[in-house]
Amino acid sequence: MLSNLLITQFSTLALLTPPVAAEYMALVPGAIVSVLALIIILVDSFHRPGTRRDYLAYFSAIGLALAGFSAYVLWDNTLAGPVFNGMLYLDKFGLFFAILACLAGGLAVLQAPSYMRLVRMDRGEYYMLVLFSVAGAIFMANAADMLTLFIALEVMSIPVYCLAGYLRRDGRSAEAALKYFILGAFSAGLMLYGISLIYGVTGTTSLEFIGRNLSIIIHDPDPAGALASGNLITVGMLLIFSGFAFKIAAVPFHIWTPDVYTGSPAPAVGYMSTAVKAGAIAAMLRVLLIAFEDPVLRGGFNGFGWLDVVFFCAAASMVLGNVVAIMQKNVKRMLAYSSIAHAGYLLVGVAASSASPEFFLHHDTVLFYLATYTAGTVGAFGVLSILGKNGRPVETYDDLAGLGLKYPVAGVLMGLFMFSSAGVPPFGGFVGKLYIFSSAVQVGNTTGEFSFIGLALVGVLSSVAGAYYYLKVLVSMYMKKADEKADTEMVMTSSAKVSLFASALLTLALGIFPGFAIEMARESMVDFQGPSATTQKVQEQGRQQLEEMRQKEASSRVVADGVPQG
Amino acid sequence: MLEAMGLTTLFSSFLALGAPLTEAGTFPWLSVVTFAPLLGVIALMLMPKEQDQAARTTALIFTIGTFIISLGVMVFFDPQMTLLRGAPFTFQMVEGPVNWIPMLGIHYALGVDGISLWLIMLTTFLMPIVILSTYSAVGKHVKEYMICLLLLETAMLGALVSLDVFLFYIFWEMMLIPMYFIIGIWGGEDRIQAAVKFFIYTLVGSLLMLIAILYVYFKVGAQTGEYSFLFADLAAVQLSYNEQIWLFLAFALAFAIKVPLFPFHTWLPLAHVQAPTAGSVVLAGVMLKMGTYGLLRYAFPLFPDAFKVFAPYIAVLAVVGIIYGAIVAMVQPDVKKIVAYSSVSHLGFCVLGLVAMTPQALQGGLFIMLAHGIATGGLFLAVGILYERRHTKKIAAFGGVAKSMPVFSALFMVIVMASVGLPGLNGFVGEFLTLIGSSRSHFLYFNKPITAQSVRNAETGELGWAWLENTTMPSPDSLQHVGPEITAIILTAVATLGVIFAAAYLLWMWRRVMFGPLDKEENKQLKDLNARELTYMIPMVLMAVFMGVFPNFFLSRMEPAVHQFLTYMDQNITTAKGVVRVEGMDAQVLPKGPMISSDKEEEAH
Repeated sequence: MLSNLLITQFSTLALLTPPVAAEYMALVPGAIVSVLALIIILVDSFHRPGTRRDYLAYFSAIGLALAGFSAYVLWDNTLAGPVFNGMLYLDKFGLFFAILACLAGGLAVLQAPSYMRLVRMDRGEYYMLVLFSVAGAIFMANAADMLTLFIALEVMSIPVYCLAGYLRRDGRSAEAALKYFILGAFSAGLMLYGISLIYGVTGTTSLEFIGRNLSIIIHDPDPAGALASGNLITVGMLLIFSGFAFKIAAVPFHIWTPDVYTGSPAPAVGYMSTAVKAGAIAAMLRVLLIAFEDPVLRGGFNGFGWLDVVFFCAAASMVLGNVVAIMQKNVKRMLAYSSIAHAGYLLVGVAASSASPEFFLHHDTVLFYLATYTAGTVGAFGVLSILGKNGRPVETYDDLAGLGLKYPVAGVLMGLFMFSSAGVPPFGGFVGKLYIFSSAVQVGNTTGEFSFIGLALVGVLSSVAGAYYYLKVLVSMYMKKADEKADTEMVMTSSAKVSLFASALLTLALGIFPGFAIEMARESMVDFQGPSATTQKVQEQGRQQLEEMRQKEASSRVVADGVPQG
Repeated sequence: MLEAMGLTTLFSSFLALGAPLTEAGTFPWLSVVTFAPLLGVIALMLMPKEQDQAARTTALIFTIGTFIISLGVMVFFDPQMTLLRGAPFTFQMVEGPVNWIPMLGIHYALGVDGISLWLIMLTTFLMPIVILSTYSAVGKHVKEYMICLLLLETAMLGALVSLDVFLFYIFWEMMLIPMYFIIGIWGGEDRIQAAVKFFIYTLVGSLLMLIAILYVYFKVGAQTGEYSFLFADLAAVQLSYNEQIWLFLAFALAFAIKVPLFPFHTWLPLAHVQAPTAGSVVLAGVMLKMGTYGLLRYAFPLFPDAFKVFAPYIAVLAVVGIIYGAIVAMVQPDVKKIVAYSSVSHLGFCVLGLVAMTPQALQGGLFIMLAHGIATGGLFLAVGILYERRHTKKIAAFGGVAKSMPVFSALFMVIVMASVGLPGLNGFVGEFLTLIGSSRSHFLYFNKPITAQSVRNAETGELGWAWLENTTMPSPDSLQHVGPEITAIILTAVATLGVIFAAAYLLWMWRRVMFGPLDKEENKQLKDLNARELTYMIPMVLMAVFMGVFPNFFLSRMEPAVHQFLTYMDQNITTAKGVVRVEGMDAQVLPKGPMISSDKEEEAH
């Protein structure tokens, strides 16, 4: 195995024992991205004014690809566990999100040169900001402690606030940045307050210790003691959840989304609606499944708990996001509301899989959905960032009129991304939605709790509304007459081409051959560090199932190879 | 671990895909037929944008090629194949099942039986004709148009040959995308509304069906321990009466929208009228049949008890559709709208035949699918020819066209007569069989009204809703000797009125367009059919005649499948054992060999 070999080599070089080497291994993807960001600052400051900065896009993308690949190499590691005294986890779950964040960042960075030309704002800071944010997202997914989690959250968010205000000559961009920053800071403050309350109750910031201590406190035989800390725990839990809900733009913490998405530069929106969401979901799963995983806190079948909150947010996000998106005239605003709806779908996966520990492995639906969502959404914003009308990037449906047939490549790609987001086979979005809703149906089916089937029905019906507004984009692009007087342009730089074709390929691959991504997502959940003993049993079963499946595959492959040709 | 993931998995799945195909030692006919048009799409994509004629020719070559390959399917189809006991269908030329997404139990599996065979042939037969008809009708974005048509063909064929429900669903939804663009880009005035309505309407039904599919899929997993989307596994699952009712409703809604059954038909006239000629032909010719095909293939055999409950209700909707479609068609001022509403009417016959569950009615329903594909397809082509010359579809704009276009008039007449149901042409056979069969049906009576009541679950004590039967069923013994139900006779009688109405609205339309004074200047200059138009009209006419004169060529290949299906339904409807009685009917009622010849002779006397 390559990674184990690397670890041994690395440890002999550094005179470290393998476990210590593993600690540094956990840092590799994030470290690559951070160093890269620093190099970019350096390179950009020596940049000759008046020349193009396209090479920075390639440079960042290659670096991100390297970081993603390093995560892929580390996939094999047998040293999963907490590292740096329980500050970070090294496990496949974190690596999956590292790959995802690098993917979203890389695709978004490659789209930038086209957009920079359209808005005439070619500046190097853009790349540095995206890279720092990616580093934050990676560490957020690996966080094993409330402190690292919060720091990573801020590292991820602050560059994104700056990205929102990147078009400094555009008033709406400034508005977006201000709104995002103030509300973001506020929600971070709330979350920090929640963390401090939980710390006050449990005396620790480590997720695992919080989990253990909370169980002890809740199941305290002295009812007075349990009650006194019970309210603190509830408030703390809700505050922490609200911080995550803000980042993933779930109802009722979604108010900022439409304005920010409309004002921010399109490729940056593609990034912030995918990688930021992914990072927040990863950290949320860590907190909910490790720190708050006690059945009493979970709620659902056992009374009121965070599961009910997630359930409500999921239903509300899907309905509100999809319905309000129908009425939008601005495509970016429509995509903002649709991203609220997608947050709802993701929360359906979280709610269903958290219904009881036996469904723990079903969280892989969330991971897989994030992968399909990333490919489709970054692609869609990519198409928006290469098309221009009258010297500015396209924004409204009217701007897009007739462009599908005028620029067939952009048209076909947009069609692909829209159909994928709408959940039409054979594209990735369909399999993602199918996987999420099938998990909800299965939970309803096995537990007899039909509210989950109801949730799936709400999701399915609201995604019909989703299909309507996604189709509206294609209606404009293909079926409306182009405005003859308007001066439209398509700035297809080679880097944008790479990004768009890569997203398209990924969308198709995830739709037609989703097996490998689903398997990766499942392995991530099997390898997820830190949950309680019951869940670990479920993980063990999942590991065996994967093992059996792989053996079956291998044996069938042998049979297939053994067949004489002709 | 690395090697088990990513690209290697992809390659290995390709490898595995190839293995059983070569293992069987036979040519993968169905895969080749299904994906041959997709090769055409790739070829078209590589072509330069401006060469319209080259794009048309390429598409024509690929569709004709697909048709020729599909002839191979017909030739190698073995109607005498031993039928599987206890299964609803026996598939031939089976490919797979190959693991496609092993984590979810999704397979790549194709097969054909007597029911899907002719729909495959219909699709491949219609496509070259459709492509030919677009030569002069579509002048802008020809390449994209051809790509859409070829994609559509692959999706339709795929839906017909899939043996895995997930695979079927993917092809089923894939049909929407090209059709959406065909209507939306190349359609008439209201094309956008029509396209969006078509898409959304169909999507609502399909997504509910998807949830139902998932429910059954998890039942499969719970009962066998192995999750699988294979149709055979889904059919083997045990479902309670209550579950069947809900699941059947979800499936039936999806298919009823596609058919379209009476209250769900509102998208159809709009879509048909706005679609370009080729779109209308494909929509009427094949896509509507996907609804009836889905009912027969999935909704009925998966949930037999629920089917028994809902059969009379569906039959009523079908009969309402027959009459409603016919009456509405009668008052339309627009030729294309008449044809569109005639589709609603004709598909009503088809559904009536399917739910009647007698051998004749079922064969009749299947035959109507084919006959309607040819006849209505031909009607749309004829309307397209008129529209290209006059740029209007209003009946009032025509009159006396027979004088200026005599050849067209003759061919059009045959097609109109086929649609009316004139004996000797294809429309007659299907409708006659359906009416004969449904009048004998034991499935169309209402002595089992269903009501929803709140009941307490015996085990958990929870309150819930359940469908209850108010009256008890007559015992199977008593049913074997009773005559046809009075409701079946009434429904059939009312449906028969539809045939008369069809004659009325179609012949009236034909008279107003073709005869009468040639008083409009524009109509005097109309050119008769050119060689290309003859090339695609004559096969349609010939096929209508051939199907009318030699129906047994088609019926004989359906017959084993129909009998197996009826036997299966008979054995699996818990409340109605012995009602279908296929074997018994074989000996007493149905003559061996040409099924309808004796009936037809009686009619002739």
